Amino acid sequence: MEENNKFKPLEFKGSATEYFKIYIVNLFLSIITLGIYSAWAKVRKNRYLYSNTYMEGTSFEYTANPINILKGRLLVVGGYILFILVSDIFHLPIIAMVITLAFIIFIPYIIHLALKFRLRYVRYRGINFSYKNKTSKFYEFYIINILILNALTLGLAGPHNTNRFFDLYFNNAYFSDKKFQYEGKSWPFYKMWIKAFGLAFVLLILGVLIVVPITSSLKYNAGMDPAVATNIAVVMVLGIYAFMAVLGTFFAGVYFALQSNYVYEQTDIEDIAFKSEYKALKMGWIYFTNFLAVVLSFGLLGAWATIRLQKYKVENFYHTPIGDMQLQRVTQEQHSSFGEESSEFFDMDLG
Amino acid sequence: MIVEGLYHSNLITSKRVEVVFLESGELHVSAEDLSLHVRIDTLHISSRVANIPRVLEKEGFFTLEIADNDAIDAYLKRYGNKKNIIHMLEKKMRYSLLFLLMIFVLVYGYFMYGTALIASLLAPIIPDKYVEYLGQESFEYIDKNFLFQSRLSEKEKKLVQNSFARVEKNGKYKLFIRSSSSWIGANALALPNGYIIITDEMAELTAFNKDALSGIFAHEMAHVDKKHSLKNIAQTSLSSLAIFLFSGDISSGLATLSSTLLYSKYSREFEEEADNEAIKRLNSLHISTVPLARVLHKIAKESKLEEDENYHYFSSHPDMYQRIEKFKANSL
Repeated sequence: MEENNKFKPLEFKGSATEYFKIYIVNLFLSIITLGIYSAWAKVRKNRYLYSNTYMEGTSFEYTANPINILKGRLLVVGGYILFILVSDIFHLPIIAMVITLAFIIFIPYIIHLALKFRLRYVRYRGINFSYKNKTSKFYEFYIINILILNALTLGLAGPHNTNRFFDLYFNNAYFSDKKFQYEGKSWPFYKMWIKAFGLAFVLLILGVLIVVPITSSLKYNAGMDPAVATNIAVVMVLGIYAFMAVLGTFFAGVYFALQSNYVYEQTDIEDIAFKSEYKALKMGWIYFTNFLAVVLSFGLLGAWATIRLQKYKVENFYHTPIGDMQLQRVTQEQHSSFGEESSEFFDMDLG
Repeated sequence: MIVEGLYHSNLITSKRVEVVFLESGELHVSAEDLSLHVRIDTLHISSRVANIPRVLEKEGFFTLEIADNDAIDAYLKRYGNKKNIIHMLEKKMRYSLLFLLMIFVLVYGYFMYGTALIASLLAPIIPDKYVEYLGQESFEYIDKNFLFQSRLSEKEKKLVQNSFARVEKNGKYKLFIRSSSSWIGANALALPNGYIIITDEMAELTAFNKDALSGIFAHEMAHVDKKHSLKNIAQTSLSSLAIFLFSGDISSGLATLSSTLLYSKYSREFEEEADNEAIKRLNSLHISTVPLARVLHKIAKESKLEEDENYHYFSSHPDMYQRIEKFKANSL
C-alpha cells in the first residue's frame, strides 16, 4: 500500500427509527403470509442497509430478486419436510441416510452458490460485483482443508483454513471485470485466535470466580423441598447458559474485529486499498449489548441493534480514492439463490 | 421540475447532472459535457424504500441515481405508475405501531389458542400406527431412564391390577406398575398408545384403596381417550415450528417464555377434562369418587399447598381444592 494514498471512511445514513418501521411492517406481512413474504422482507431490509451505505457520495445497491430467494427457501423447507417424513413418520432409516449423505455431499456446492449470490446482487454506480470460481475448487477446499487437514491436526488447522477460505473468496471476487486481490498469510490468523481465545479464557476464569461462590451458597441440602431444589437447579442452568451466551457474543465481536482488520488490509482491487479500524473490545461490547438489548426487549430493539452495528462497521471502514477505472457494464443473469438461502436457513452463514 | 442526480456510465467516476422532468414524459439529463434525452418508460426505476436514492437504469448504458424521492414519485404518478403500497405502510410510525400491536395479538393468539386449536384438529387424524409408535418409544425412554422394577408385594400388585381391571372393560389399555425415581415420585402417567404407568409411591399414597386407585386409572384413561398427550406433542411441535421459522425475526426468548408459561395452562384444561370424564366413568360403574378426593387432599397437603394459594401459572394442578370439591360433590 502506498503511503501517500489518503484513506477515507465510508458513510452510513440509515436511522434506527426509519429501519424500525420497515422491520415491523415486513415482520407483520411475513407472519400473516406464513413466511412467504419473508423473501420480499429480506430484500427490502437489505436494500435499506446497502443503499444507506455511501462510498464517495454514491450509495450501494442490493438488487436480488425475492422470487429467487423464495425458491431457495421453498426447496430447503421441502427437503427438510421430506427428511422429517422419511425419518420420523415413515421410519425409513436407509432413505433418511441417503438424504443426509446427499446433503453432506452438496455442502460445498451450496456454499459456492451462496457466495455467488451474495456478490452478484450488489451494485455500485450501476456496476455489479461478482464471484467467479469453479465448484471443484470448493470441493478441493472442503475435502483437503476442512475434512482431512482438520481431522489430522485435531482442529489446529482452523486458522490456516480460515485464511485459505478468504483466499478462495476474495481472489475470485470481481467488481465488473476487475479482480480483487487478497494476500493474507496463515500466521496472523493464529495470532488472532490466540488473542481472542486468551481473552475468552480470562473472562471465563472471571466468570467462574463470580459464579462459583454464588452457586455454592445455594447448595442442595437433603431436607430441601424438591420443588425449591428444582427451581434452584433451573435458575442455575439458565444462569450458566446466559453466561455462556454473553461470553460467546462478546468473543464473537472481538474476533470479528480482529479478523476484519487483517482481512481488509490484505485486500485490494487495482490500486484501491482498504482497511477497517474496528476496536476489538468496542466490537465485542456492541455485539454483547446488542444481544442483551434484543433478548430483554423481546426483539423490539432488533432494528436499533442492526443499525447500530452497521453504522459502526461502515463508518470505520476506509478505502483509498477510487479514481476513474474504465469498466465493463456486465449484464446480470438470473441465478437461483438456493445456496444463500440454505446456508441462512440452517444458520451456517459464512464470512 | 428539475432535480440533481448522479450519472454513471462505463467509467466508475460519478458525474453530477441536472435532470429535468419534461411534460412529454421524457427526461433531459445534462452536465457540462453531456446532454441526453430519454423516455421515462424505457427506464427501469427501482422501487421506493424509505429515502434511499432511486436508481433509474437504461440497461447496458447508464444508471442515474436520484435522491429526491418525492419528485420522482410525483412525476411517476402522472404517468400512471402504481402506488407503492408497502412503502406507504412503512412510512408512518403510527402504522408501524399498529402493526406491532397486531403482531403481539397474532403471536399471543397463536400460542394461546392457535396451537391448541390446530392440535385438536390434528390429533384425530394422526394415524394409529404413528400413535402406537410414539407411545412405545416414549414408554421405553421413560421406563429406561426414570423407572425401576416395582417393589410391591404380589398381593399389592394384584390389588392394583384388579382396581385397574374394574374400570378397563375393552382391553384398550395396559397397566405398568413401577417404582419411580424422585423426579417422578407419587404419580400416574398415560401415554398416547394407552399405556398407563402407576408408581409404587402413588399406590402407597392411596393406602391401596381400590376406589381411589380406580379413580386414578379412570382419570388417566380419560387423558388417553381425549388424546391429551398427543395434543400436547402436536402443540409443542407447532410452537417449535413457529419459533424455528421466525427465529430470525422474533427473539426466541419471547417464544420460549410464552410456550413454557402457556403449556401449564393447557394442561390445566386437560386435567379438568380428565377429571370430568373420570367422574362420569366412576359414576356409571357405581364407584365412589370420595376416596379419590381424599388422595388428592393428601397430595395437596404433602406438597404444602395452602387453600387460598392460586396456582394459575407454572403449575399443572388446576386449583387442587377445587378439584377435590368437585370429586366430593359428584359422588354417588
